Amino acid sequence: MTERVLLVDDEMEFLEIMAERMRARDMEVTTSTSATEALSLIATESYDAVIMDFMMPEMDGIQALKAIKEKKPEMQIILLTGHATVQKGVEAMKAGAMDFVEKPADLDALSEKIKKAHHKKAVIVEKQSQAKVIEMLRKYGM
Amino acid sequence: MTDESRLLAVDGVRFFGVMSASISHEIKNVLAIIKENAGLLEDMLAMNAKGIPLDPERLTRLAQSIDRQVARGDGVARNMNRFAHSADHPSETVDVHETIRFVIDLADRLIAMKGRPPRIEAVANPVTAVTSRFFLERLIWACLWQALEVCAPEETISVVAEKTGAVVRIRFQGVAEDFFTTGAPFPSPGEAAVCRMLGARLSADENAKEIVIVLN
Repeated sequence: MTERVLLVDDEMEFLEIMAERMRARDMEVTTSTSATEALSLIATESYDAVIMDFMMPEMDGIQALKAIKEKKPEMQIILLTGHATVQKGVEAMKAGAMDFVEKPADLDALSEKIKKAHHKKAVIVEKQSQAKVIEMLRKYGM
Repeated sequence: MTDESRLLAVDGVRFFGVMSASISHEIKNVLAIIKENAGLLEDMLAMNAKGIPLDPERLTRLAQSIDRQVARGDGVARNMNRFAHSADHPSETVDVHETIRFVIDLADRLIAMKGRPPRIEAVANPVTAVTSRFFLERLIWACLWQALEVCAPEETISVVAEKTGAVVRIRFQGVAEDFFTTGAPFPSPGEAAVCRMLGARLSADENAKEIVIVLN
């Protein structure tokens, strides 16, 4: 099944090549060079995973992560970082990141994480749907 | 070690750390792009092994991208090296304009991380001073950062060095009103120690909208 991915990084060249390689692996990739733009894309589109650089102008990864989670709690976000420290990793995971990957990332390993994200999101959405159905059934006394 | 020299050492190491972290982030970004290019080449070769012909135009663009990133990485490494050697001599003859340009270049990524930073121009005016190169860079960055914190994207910060007799002035012009009205804690204790060490003075003129480093 095709995974829908939003790739966010202020390095245009990195975005283009990474997206090309991901598309060659049958992923549907949208790119964005800013967290602000990514936030508006997330508001209107559906993605299985968001791969986002930790250090970006205007809004850093943690701020963006929190803003996305507030809008779409089910969104699976993988943060990319130039320097992965334990402190940053803990901060990211606490804020709801699915994973924290150091640059330069291995695409095969990242693809595996995207597949997991896809699965995880599907489970969350299914649970949400079930909860809605149960709620409706309760409402109608069934 | 006296309290003053400890303050100076801590401030210096902190400045070195901020710049080094920014530089290493940039190097990581360069490496990430080169790695993706190598990965793309592997992908293309794997597809070629399955009978899909190689696209010479795509290969050319790939080689150009690697070339660009190597040149970028080289520039970053050169700056890193130059910065590391800033502390070689406690005092030397420094081209002040060149030092201003260097600090702006060195901090390029930190400036970009502000999102939509104001324009920064270093007005060419050859002026020399006998001082500590490293701590002068520190003080220039301190003033520039203050200006960056308050200036809007459409504004311009002009940095110009002037010499009158033995006195050198580095003017940061176009500093937005907020700097003078919000009363931000500037200079910090470490920056004040740098001033004392350099025999420098910082002044702020609200009417002229400028911060000035005065080197005697």
